[in-house]
Amino acid sequence: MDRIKIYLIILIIPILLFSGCWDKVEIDERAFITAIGYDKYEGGNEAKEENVEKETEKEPLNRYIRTITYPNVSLIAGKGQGKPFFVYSTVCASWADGRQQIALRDNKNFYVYHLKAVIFNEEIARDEELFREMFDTFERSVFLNRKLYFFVTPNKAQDILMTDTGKNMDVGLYIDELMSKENKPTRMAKSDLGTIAVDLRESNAALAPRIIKSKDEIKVSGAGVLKDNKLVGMLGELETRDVFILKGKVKLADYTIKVDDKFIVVSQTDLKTNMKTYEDKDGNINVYFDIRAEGDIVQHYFRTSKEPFDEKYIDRVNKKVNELISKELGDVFKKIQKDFGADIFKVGENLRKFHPATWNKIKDDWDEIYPKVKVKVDYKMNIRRVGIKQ
Amino acid sequence: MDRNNDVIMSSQLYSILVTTVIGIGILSMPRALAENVGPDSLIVLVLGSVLFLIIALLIQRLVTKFPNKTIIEMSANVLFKPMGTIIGFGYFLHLLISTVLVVRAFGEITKNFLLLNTPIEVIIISFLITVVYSVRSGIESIARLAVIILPMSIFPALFVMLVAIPDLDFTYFLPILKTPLPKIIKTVPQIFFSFIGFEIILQLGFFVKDRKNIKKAAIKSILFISSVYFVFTAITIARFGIAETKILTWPVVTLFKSVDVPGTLLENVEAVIMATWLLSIFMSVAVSYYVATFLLSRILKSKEHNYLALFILPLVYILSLIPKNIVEVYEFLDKFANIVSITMIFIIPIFLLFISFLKRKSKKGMKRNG
Amino acid sequence: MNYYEKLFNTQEDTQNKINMAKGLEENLKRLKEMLSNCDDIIYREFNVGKDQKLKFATVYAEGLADKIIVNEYVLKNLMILARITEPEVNSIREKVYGLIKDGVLSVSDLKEIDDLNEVVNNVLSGETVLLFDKWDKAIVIASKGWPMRGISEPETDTVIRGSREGFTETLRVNTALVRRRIRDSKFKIKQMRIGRRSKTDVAVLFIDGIVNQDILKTVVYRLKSIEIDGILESGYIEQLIEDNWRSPFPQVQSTERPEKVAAALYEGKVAIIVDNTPFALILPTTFNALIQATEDYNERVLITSIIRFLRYTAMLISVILPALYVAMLAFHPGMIPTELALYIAGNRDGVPFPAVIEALIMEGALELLREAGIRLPGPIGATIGIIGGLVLGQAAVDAGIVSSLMIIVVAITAISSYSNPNYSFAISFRMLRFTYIMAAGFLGLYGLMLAILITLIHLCNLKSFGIPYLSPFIYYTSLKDFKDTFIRVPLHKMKGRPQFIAKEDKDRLMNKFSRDNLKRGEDNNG
Repeated sequence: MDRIKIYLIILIIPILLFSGCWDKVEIDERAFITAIGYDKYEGGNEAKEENVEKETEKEPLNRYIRTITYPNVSLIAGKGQGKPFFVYSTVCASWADGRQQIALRDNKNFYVYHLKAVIFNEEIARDEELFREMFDTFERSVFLNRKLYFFVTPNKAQDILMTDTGKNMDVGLYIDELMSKENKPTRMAKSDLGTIAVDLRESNAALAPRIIKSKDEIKVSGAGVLKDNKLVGMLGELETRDVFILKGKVKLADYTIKVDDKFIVVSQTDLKTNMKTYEDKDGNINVYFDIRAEGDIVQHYFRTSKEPFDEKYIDRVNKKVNELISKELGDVFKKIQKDFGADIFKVGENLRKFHPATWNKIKDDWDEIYPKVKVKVDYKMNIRRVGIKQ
Repeated sequence: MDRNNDVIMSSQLYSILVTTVIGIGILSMPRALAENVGPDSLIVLVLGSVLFLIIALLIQRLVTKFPNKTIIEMSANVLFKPMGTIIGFGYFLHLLISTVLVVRAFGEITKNFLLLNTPIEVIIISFLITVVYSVRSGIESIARLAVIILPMSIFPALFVMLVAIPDLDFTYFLPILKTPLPKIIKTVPQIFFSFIGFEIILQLGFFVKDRKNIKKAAIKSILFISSVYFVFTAITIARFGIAETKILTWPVVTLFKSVDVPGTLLENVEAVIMATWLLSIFMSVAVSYYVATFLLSRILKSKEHNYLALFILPLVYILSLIPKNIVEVYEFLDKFANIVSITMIFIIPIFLLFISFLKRKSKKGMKRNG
Repeated sequence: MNYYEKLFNTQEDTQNKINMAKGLEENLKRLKEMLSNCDDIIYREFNVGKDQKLKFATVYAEGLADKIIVNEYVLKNLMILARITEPEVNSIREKVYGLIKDGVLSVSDLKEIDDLNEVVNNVLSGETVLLFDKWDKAIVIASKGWPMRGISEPETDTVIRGSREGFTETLRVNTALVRRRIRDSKFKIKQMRIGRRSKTDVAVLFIDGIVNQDILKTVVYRLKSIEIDGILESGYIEQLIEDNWRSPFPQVQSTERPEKVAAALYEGKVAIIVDNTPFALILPTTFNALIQATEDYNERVLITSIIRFLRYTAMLISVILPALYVAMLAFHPGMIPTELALYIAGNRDGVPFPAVIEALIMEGALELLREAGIRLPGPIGATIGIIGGLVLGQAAVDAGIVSSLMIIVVAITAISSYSNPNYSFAISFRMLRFTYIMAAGFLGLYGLMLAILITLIHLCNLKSFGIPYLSPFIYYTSLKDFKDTFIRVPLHKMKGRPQFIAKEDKDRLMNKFSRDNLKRGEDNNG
C-alpha cells in the first residue's frame, strides 16, 4: 500500500506541474490597462480602413470606438526607455469584441484589474441602449474593481487617452492620482463605479465626474447628470461644488462675496449638511436643507484696517454670506430639479426611509411630483477666523 | 490516529458547529434577506435566529437524552430496529448531497474569483483529496482543526468589515417593520436554512466527553453564528443599500471588493478573504463528509470508516459535476433546503423526542399501574 | 523495589552473567580472551603484603581511566602503604577483601561485582577493576577520567541574558549541571544503557510529583525497546522514539542548555541526556514550545511579549512569503497595489524564468550558501555568506537572470527563518517553503491555501508522546494555557504549569504571592 502511494505521488506531481498552471501568466507578460475610453462610431473613413480584414459578413455591428492605454512598465522600474505609455484604438461591437480586436495587435496579456478610469464620450452616454450595455459589463465583471472612476466627456475619449501628461505616466494613472490626492479640489464630482451603480438603482439618478481636454491638458471638473440610465446634462464646476455641499460630501469651499463694493473671500470649513423632507398640509413635498459651517476670511483689502476686526462688520458679512449661499444652493437644486428632473439628492429615498406612508402614496408618480418639490436651504455660517492681521 | 480514543471536548464541538454552519450560505445571505424583507432584514434575522435557538435546544435535548448513541440507535431505540437503519441512511444521503452541493458551489466561486481558466474538475478534486485526508485522520483531528480554523476564517473578514464602518449608512434599515407580515413569516424559515449543518450535532454528540456541556456549546454556537450573520448582513446592506444588495450575486464578496484597507501591502483584500473563507468551506465539507462516512460505517456495521471515505470520494466527485451552472446549484440548494433539510433538521429530531417522551410517560404510567 | 525502580528495571543484566573464577590467573586469562586484541587495555599484576604472597591485578583502559587515581590511590596504597601498616593479610585470607575495600583504598566510589561481563563493561567505560587471587569478586574503582572539553557557551541557542553554561560530552557533568538548578530530592535521574555494542549511558530526568506519569511510562517503554548496536548521538534516540518519522516537524526538542532542561522539568516534562553528546532531549514537545527561547523568561515581560509576537510573525513570513509572492505575481496581480504591480512588472521585464522557477532557484541557492557556510571552518564560512549573498546576488540581478525584488523577498525569508530559536524546527519550515512555492506556482493562492490546510491537518494529527502537538491552541477550555503563547504574561500571572502536560501539583507560584502583597510590605516598612 505504501509503495503504491509513493508511486502515485511520484506520478501525479510531475503531471500536475507540467500540464497544470492554467491561470499562470507572468506579471511582466501582462499589460496593465489603466484607462479605457469609448467613443461612438460614426463610420469615419479611417476607421473603415482599419477594419478592412474584419469578418463582419453577418451584420456590421460597429458601434464603439474603444481606446485603451497601458503604461510602459520598464520606464516605471527605471529600466529601458521609450514612450511612457501605449494607446490602442479599435472599432468594435462590444467590450468583448473590442478586447479581442486589440489583443490581435499587442504582444502582452491584457489585465484589467488595475483599471483606474473609464471615459465615456457624451454621445455614447446620451444613448440609453449603448450606455446600459456598457455599464452592465462594468458592473458584472468579476475582474473589475468597483473603485474605478467613471467619467463622461464632451471631447473624444480617444483624444483624452492620447494626451501626454509630460509626467512619464499614462492618463489612467494620472487621473487616479488626481482623483485620490489628499487635498481634493471641491469642484469635481468624486464618485466611483460602485457609487454610481448604487445611486442609479436607488434614485434613478447619479453624478459622474466630467473630464475635459483642452489643448495639451486634461482637466477633471464638473459633473454629468445621469438619469434613466443615460446622460441628461452637464453641471459646471461651481454647480458641482454646490451640489456636493447639498449632498453633504464636501467639507471645504471658498466663496467670493461682494460686501460694500469690496470682493472678499470667505472660506467655508467644517460643512455639515442635514436634509429633511416632510409633507405639508397642502400635500406638497418639502425639502429642507440645514447646513452649518464655519467661516474664515481669507481675502479682504490691503490697508483697510479695523473693518475685518469689527464685530458689527463681521455680522454683516456673515448675514450676507448666508443669504447669498442659501440662494445659490437653492438655485442649483431647482436647476437640477426642473431641467433634468434627476433626484440626485435622494429625496425619494429620504421619504421612503422617514415617511414611508407618504412615500407609498406618491412613489408611483414620483417622476412627476419631484419637479414640484419645494426646497428651502438654510445656510448658517459663523465667521470664526479672520487671519493674522487686523 | 487513535481509533479507540475518539473523544472530543464540548468546546471543540462548539468550534465544529460554528465552522460547519458558516459556509457557502453567508456569501449570498444579505441578498436573500434584502430581496424578501428589505429594511427589516436585521429584525427578521434576529427573529429567525431566536426561533432556531429554540429548535436547537430541542435537538440538543434529544442528544443529551441518549448518551453514547448515534441517530441510528436513537431511532432504533425509540421506534423499531429497521427504522434506525432507514433514518440513518436518510441522514447519510442528506449529508452526502449537501456535501456535493457545497463542493460544487465552492468550485464555481473559486473558479470565478481566483482561477478563471483552471478546469473546475481540478479545483474540485484537489479540494476533495484534502478533505479525504482530513476525514481519514479522524474526528479528534477534525475537532482540533476546527478550533484552529475558526479564528483564522472569521477574524480577517470581520477585521476588513471594521474598515468599512465609516462609510456605512444605517438609515437603509428604515422604515422599521413596514414589510407585510406574511412576507416576514415566509422569510423566517429561510433563516433556518442558513443554519443547515447544525443537525450534525445529532451524530457528533456521540463523541463528546463532557456531555453535560453540550447544551452550553449548542447555545454558544448558535449565538456566535447568528451574530456573525448579523454583522455581515448589517454591514453589507448599510454599505450598498437595499436596491444594490438585491442584485448582487455574492454581496459579501462585492463588499470586500469595494473596501479600501488603508496602508496595507495589498490593494484588493478580496482575494485574501476568499482564501481564508476557503478554510471555512473546508470545515463544512470535511465535517459533513466525516459524519456521512461515519453513518455509513455504522449502517454497514464496519468498524473502519477509513476506507469508506476513499470509497465515497469518486461518488461525491462525479455528483458534484452534474449541475450545469451556478444558477442550477443555487436553485437545487434552495429546493433541497426546503424539503429535505426541514425533515432532517426539524421533523425527525422533534418527532423522535416527542415519541420518546410519550414512551417514557407510558412506561411511568405502567409502572404506577403495575 | 519502589515504583521507579520497577519502571526502569531491565532484565537483560542478569541474563548472560559469567561468574568469576576463584583464581586470579584464571580470571585474567578469561578477561584477556574476552578483550583480545584490545591493546588499550592495561593489565597490571602485583603482589601485596610483607611477604608478597598476595597476588592482585588491576585492569583498566588506557585513556579512559585516570592514571593518577590508579597510581596514587590504588597501586601506591596497596603496594607500599599496605606493606608498612602490615595488615593481617597472611593469617586471615577471607578478610582480605573487606580489609582492602574498607581500609586501604582511598577512593570514594567503590563497587563490588562478581560478573566477568560486568568487569569488561566497567573497564570499557573507564573504571579500574581490581582483581584478587582466590576470590570470585572484583572491586570496581571509579576512575573515569579522560581529557574532556570544559563547560563552555553553547554554539546554538545563544542568549544575551542568561546562563552561559552549556552541556558537554560527559553525561555526569551534564546531569550535575541540571542538578545544580533543581536541588530537590524529588528530582530523579535514572540511568540506563542503550546500544548492544556501544552501551551508551542514557539518563532519564524528571521531577517526581510533577511529571506526567503517562508520558514517563511511554518514554521509558520506548527507550527500553530500542535494540540497536550503537548510539552515537541523542539524535539516534530521538529518531527511534519519535511518534511520526514522516513528519517534517521535530517532535522532540533538543537543547544544549541546562537552563532549558530544568525549565522543561519544572513544567512536568521528561528530559533525556545521552553520553557523548551535548544535546539533551526534551519531550513531549509542542509547536509552541519550539518558538519559545530561553531568554523569554529572563527578559522583562513587555519586551518578551513583543519579541514573541515578532517571532511568530517571522515564522509565518519564513514559510509563506515566497509562495505568496509567486502566487500574487503569476496568478493574482490584482492583489498588489497598482504602483507596486507596475514596478514589479517593469523590474521583472527580461527575466527569462517564470516566477516559480526564479523563486525555487533563489531559495535553493540560499540553502546551498547556508550549507556551505556551516561546512566550512568558521571565518571562511562567513566569507562564503558575504560572497554568495552580496556578489552573487548583485551579479545575478545585473545579468538579468533574477529580479531584484525576488532577492529582497528571499533575503527577508532568510532573516525571518534565522529568528527561529530552534534549529531543527527552522529546518522543517525551510523544507515546507519549497512545497508551498510549488503549490502556489501550480494553483496560485488556492494552491497555497490547500498546502497550508494540509500542513494544518497534519499538525492536528501529530502527537508527541500522547500530547497533541498543537496544544494549547486546540482547546478553548482554559485561557490559562495561552499565557505563554503569542505573548508571555508577567511571571506573577503564570501561576500554573501547562495544563495539558502537568496533571499533579499544578501550581507553580503559590497563591500567597501577589503584587499587592509586595506593595503592602513596602508600606509597612515605610
